[in-house]
Amino acid sequence: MEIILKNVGYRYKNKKLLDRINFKIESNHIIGITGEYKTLLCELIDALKFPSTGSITVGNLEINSENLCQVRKEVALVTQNPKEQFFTDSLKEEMEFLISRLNYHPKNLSKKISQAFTMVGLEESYFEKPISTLSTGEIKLVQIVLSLIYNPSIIILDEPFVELDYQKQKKLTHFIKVLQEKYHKTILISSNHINLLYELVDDIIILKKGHLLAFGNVLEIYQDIPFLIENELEIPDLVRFTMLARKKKIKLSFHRDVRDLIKDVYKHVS
Amino acid sequence: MSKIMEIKDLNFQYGTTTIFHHFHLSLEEGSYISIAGNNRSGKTTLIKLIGGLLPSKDTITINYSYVDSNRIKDHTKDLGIVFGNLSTPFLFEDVYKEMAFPLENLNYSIEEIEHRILEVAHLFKINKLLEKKTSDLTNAEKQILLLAIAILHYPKILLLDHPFSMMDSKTKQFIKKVLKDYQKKNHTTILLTTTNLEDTLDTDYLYILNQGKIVVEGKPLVVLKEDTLLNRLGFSLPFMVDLSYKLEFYELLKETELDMDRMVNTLWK
Repeated sequence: MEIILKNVGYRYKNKKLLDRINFKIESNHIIGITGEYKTLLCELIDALKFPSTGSITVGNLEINSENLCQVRKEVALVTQNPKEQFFTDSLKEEMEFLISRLNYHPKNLSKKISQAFTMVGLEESYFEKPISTLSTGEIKLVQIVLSLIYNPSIIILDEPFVELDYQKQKKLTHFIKVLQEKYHKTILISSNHINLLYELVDDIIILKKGHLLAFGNVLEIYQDIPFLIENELEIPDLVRFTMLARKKKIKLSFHRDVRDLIKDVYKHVS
Repeated sequence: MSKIMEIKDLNFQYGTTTIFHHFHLSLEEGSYISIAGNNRSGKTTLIKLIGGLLPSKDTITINYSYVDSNRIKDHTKDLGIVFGNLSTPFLFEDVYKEMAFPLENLNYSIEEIEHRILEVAHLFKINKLLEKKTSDLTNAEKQILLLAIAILHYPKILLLDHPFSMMDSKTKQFIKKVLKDYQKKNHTTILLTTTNLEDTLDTDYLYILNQGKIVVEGKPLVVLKEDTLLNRLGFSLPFMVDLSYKLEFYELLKETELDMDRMVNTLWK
């Protein structure tokens, strides 16, 4: 499902936090969002906030106050502090609340629930555990489970890697790829973790001072060294290594995997 | 050097889940110590126990006196605690008030408070934040503010529970340097917990915590040589350490190099 932002702006206390944002996200891509006010952008696409100017279209729905439920059925947002999103301590009650609010009453609910648990690789017994006993990582996964029950086309993850250890990060990145490849979801990931984004996403949105500084293929953007330096952007470690080698006239290529980089280094050291 | 904090035979459980069983740890005064562990390894619980926020049944001493929740007032002046988790970190709307509050509690005069706030704000380069509202800060700014508040009263011990988790790497590098310089200058003891081994590289000593037990300990670069064990425990090596070890393995490098510029210069002279 596509997402189109046309001339989107957002004002808060007479300050333009976002201004003239235009882009079109194609379906079935993994998109990284980095820079200032990335959470705000996520909230606008999930229809939690309305833009002050411009329009946002999700699939064939232009977001307005009447079609909120329809939009949120298509767009799931996993927030930074999922713990704050829950009203009760029971996952079951949370789910019942969620589906009643979205007016979603599928016939085979229990099957959909167990499918959702299988997708994230959690045991179904988590459904019975009180939310307060879960770790931050588990809560994030559980929130993804909840959103998968109503099968949204777009999943937004706001700072998903914060506070997750490496093992859980690896599990989550694997799962994000499965969501894209097997279930054809469009996935937006907002993060400051430029090294992780560089290795994971297809396209990247870079926000700076309220404007869209860059949007496009992540490899292409991060090969444009003068652009990165001019805008004082953080450079992924893998890119920086190639950049430094090229300064010494070594013809190293850009790599997204450290093993490929080492093979390339091996070829160029004699 | 003397022991500023000591844990002897700590046992702790939440309900029926045991977190620590016969646990021992001590901190030398003026050292910068890191504990790395995965989610649920017991890091935050340990910080809360040392900070007196959870009952430790007279197994933890700070300056040879027991820490326990009912006696914690004695230790307030000695401790600075930061929890990187930002669910409800602030009491006030104004950043300045938020910073002044702990000093007011410790009976600092208004002049002293202002002087000290400006000094610390200058150190972390957050003078611009002083006029802001705490709710308008970005997550990284909130974490920096928490660190700034923690050192306002020159605590002898800083307990930092994954304090950099929301910072981008540029900010993190700067803040880590400020912290390290401050620690050296004031001879502060720091205990830092993290899931990210990169954060441990500039500390003096590293403990790897797994399910409430210390599995390896030593100087960070020595501990990181145990890459097979660390991988099994679910850690990733910091990018430069990993790259360096791999290049050493292929005999492209003779010794571990953590600075990328220098590494490239060694590879291609």
